Amino acid sequence: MELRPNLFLLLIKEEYRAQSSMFNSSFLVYPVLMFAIALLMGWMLLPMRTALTTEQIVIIGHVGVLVAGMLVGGFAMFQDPILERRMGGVRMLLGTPGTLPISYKEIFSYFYIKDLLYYMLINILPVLAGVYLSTAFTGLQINMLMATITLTAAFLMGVSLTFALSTVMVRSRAALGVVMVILLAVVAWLSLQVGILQAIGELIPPVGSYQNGTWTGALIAFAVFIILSAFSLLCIREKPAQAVDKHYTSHFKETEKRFAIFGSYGTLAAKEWIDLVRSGSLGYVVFSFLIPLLFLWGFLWIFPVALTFIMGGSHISFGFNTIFYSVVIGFFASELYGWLNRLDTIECYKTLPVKMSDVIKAKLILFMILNVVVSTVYLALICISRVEYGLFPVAFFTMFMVSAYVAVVIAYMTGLYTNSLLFDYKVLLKYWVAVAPLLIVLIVTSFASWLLWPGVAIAALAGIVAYILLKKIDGKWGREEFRA
Amino acid sequence: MAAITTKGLTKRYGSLEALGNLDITVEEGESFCLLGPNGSGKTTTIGILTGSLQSTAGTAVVMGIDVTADPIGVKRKIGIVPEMEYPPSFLTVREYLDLVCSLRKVDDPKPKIDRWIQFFGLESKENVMCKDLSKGTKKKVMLSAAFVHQPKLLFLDEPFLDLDPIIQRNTREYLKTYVKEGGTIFLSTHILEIAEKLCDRVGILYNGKLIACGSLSELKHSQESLEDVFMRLVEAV
Repeated sequence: MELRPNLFLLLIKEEYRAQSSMFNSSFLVYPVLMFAIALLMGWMLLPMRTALTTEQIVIIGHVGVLVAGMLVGGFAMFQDPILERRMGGVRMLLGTPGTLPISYKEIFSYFYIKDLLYYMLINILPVLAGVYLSTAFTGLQINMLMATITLTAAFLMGVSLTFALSTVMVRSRAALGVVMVILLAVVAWLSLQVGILQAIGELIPPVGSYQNGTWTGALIAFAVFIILSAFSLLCIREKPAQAVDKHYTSHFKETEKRFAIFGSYGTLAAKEWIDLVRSGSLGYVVFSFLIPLLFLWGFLWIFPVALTFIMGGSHISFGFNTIFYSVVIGFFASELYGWLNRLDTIECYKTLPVKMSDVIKAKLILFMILNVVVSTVYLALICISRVEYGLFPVAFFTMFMVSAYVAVVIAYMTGLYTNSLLFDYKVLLKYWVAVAPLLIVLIVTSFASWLLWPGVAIAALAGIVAYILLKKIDGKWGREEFRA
Repeated sequence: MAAITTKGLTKRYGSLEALGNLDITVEEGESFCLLGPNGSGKTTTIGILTGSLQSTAGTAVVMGIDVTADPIGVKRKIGIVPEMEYPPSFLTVREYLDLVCSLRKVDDPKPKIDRWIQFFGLESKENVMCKDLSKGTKKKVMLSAAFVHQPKLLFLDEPFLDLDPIIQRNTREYLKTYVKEGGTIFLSTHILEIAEKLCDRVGILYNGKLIACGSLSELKHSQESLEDVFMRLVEAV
């Protein structure tokens, strides 16, 4: 195979231009944010050391980087849905094998290497820099050379793992199921032997390298990365999947009838609902709460530890009750609105007598329906697990008001372009100014039972503000043109 | 009565003038074709006239409605076939046409939808998701969506691209009948043969300026084809 350095450089240019055209200069803020988070996490190592062993901290750090790599690694998914739908009218170099004498495997190999380089530059490098700088404040001894090697190895392993899994999935979902069952069985078996954290640590070879100062684990991880990447690149399909003439029963009319209670928005909401179901995104929406809730669980675990550390060892405890969870679930729920904006391109509305604000409101209707169902289930589970049944009505009201407020704020600020405009730091800043004070006040009121009703009043006020903003969406987005 | 009237219609993107001082009148029952090289401003003109784009200056009145003041009102009265946009990915062909009829408040939509599904030979595809259709079939769906509510004015931006010759001919014949029955067509195309066969009047845009406008007989010198006219006018600028 002939080496094509020019093609590689063109792919890098394309990535830069795609990012800068979608997010303006805001995409440059991302590595700065990663650096700041790593700096904070580096500082958090001090309190974490009072609750965890060094070995556990090393495992958690490598698991975090491995998961980041796994999130980056769904490359094979690019081939069909993203090129077809989400990129809309944008044509990328990955699409050139159809017209130029170059194979898809070859151009994808360059694309893969380009993305590895890109994500290491914007993820791993800032994280390492942040952790390194934090040692100046914490005085902790971190072997930065070894950390650079082992964290990079963990990241690459994560990327190649999901790349391989998604390649298997594109070929056969059944085969993916078998692989996943085997992987989970190995983790479960090891967990029974040594505990879950230790088990995961043993499955990530670079952890051993960092702990023992040996190269073996890192070399194994690099070998795994090379083998899985080679497997994926060799197995990737040369052409996107051929469209299949799969026939569907027409559901539009009956779905529209079901949404008829929403008046003129019912028709558009019915279309959005069919998009959600047929695109296979309903499952993602339901489980989109899981990752934030896991982060929340981690935060709630570290928060009292950190606070105790800050207070010089005095034990601090907080009662995180159902009301607290209702606030954060309400906040997480707003992510659903972003999901609804990822489903399909919107240009077809250009030809129809529809305002952008109508489509935004239809999506908000669907958001509220999903929110009521999914968030209520999560809230009910938390309420049951904490045996706080009496708080459920207030918690439900608070959750509903917070999610309505946050979603309407996002809809007002970003319209149908949530997934690009929220990366614009000016919009992001305004969003946080609008949302953070409410969340802080409601979280504070959740800590004391005598603040229960003031909290409800504030939540109700947020609901009123949401209603006012909802009315203003027409003015802001009604005349906007539908663009890719 | 004029179906379309523009006065000083202008569109600027920063320092680039995509369309400058366009003055056009298209009468009801007329078939008007906008010709011009790539980037001459044809799609921009259609975008403004159909309420998808806002002009920088000037006025446009379509079917008696000021486009700037009431773009949705204009969209209700017209049919649009865009050059690039396709139907939504996850609806089937029939579902999309159902959506269009609902949004356009079409009475008794089923026979109308059936008619266009049959006209474009979409029977075997009517329950297939639009994302799984070929480009040509997507174009047929967009044409069906533009025709289904029987509008009095059609904006067609390169409507024959990706269509097979049989469907091209059938569509052309339908459009001729449509105009005979009082419908108005505003067509943008590169295919001069179609313009020659279908249109009463032609406007030629070049670098955002209307450099010629008139009936084919007015624009042609003796023995000239439309291609000759087009080349002569464009090269003279």
